[in-house]
Amino acid sequence: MINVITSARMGVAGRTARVMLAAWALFVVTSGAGAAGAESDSNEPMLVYAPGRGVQIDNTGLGLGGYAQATLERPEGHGPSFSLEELSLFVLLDPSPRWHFFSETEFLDTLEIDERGRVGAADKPVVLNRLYLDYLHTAAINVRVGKFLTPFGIWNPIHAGPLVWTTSRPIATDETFFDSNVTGVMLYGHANAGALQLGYSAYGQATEQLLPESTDGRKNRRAGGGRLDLSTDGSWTLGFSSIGFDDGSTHRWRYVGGGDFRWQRDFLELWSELTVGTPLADGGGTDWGGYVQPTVPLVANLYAVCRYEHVHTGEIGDANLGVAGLAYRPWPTVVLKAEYRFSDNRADATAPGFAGQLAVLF
Amino acid sequence: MRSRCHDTRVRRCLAALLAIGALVVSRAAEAEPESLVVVANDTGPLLAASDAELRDMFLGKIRVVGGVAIQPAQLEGPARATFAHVLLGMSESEFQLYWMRKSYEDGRLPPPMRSSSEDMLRFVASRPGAIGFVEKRMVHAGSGVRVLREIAVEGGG
Repeated sequence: MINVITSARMGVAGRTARVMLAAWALFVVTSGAGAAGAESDSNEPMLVYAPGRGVQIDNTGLGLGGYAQATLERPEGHGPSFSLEELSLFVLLDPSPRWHFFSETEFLDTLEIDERGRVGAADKPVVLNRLYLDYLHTAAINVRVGKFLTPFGIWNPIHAGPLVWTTSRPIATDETFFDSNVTGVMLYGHANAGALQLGYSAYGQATEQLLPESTDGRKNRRAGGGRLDLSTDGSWTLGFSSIGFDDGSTHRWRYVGGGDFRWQRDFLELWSELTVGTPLADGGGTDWGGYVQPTVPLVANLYAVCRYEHVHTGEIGDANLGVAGLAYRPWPTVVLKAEYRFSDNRADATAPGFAGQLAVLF
Repeated sequence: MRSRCHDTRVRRCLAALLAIGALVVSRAAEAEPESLVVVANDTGPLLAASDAELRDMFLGKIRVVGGVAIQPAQLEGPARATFAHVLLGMSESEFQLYWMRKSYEDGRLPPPMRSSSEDMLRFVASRPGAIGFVEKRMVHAGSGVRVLREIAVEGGG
């Protein structure tokens, strides 16, 4: 059964949540209604839907969108399992030129069929993945307050199924190294220097994560970090990210840094990330992981993708992982993926096997 | 009898050739690339913009100018590919993928699509921060828009 977040869990970050929701309610009351007509003309509000662009309610600044992904997996030595892995709904509002509100609510594993054919749903709550307010000052200086995706590397900020080429996610980009969300304040922006564009973000978290996804997660209590990226006209980006956090599971500070490189031209893409983290346990070595992933268009919206990844962590040990797969995009907003993961490590997170996914951005 | 039949066949062949020729000419005229212009609202804060600034506006990096929200819009059809190539240095598909990822990352919706130049001009003329691109020949005095940049297309009108 789907569990809506219980009052006990609310208690973990309840105070933060209440403060943020109250602030949001106040914000809506004071600025939202009045600003709705800020850009209006004589036209009546109009509901406009376009695939991948969501629903925009003209002249109100209100928009709705989201995505869904369904995944079929068959790890070696196991039967196939299916899950309606994610249904994600966005609500966004631009009540005035300088303010932007966004929320993303995820419904996780709402339907699962396990390898024995049993139908059910995961014992996971509805998750508030993001809830934040932006203040847009200039292109170079903007402020975000709330719960947002950690700006670390390439994958984490765009991890949604319709936007990435494989069903499986590289370990170097997941919670093995850092929490995917931050609840706090972020300063971000970008500037041009000739043909180069420089983007930056710097953020801090002074309290527990707002409505964390899982009670056995890292539960970072404090965190701080930043990212710098350099790019030219969208064809390549070079980035450096870092984060330090008070790890809730080990009660010690962990520091993680990384570099990433992305190049793309007409759907020919090359992604690569390297992540290095201080050990979680006393006496452990440095954890690190990295991957290289080229994607090549074949014919008629069919793409070939492969990935090589190496990870070395105290939890997993050493693992060499390879992914070979195909992705078919009949429309830009719909992708059907099939891949096989090779691995020389049999831990759950690195098990070899088949995975397929249908992902739709709506 | 035989020559009448032959004449009819010749006439039919000529008619078919003429029809095909007309079709080819009309398709060629249809495919003729047209020069585009980037337009902003006549009364809005955008008086001028460099290519880099225009690119940043259409890529969602510049979102506010003079306290007014910048609202880029896209024009459906072949103009979109020309615009993306010349001004943004991207193919149309890259532009689309860019916005899919950008909209997820930034929590924004991509620029709305306008079905025709007339529709785009109405959109831009009615919003102080709106910015779009249209065929040059569609812009006239009194359109309520200001031309910021011309995108000349080789062989275009």
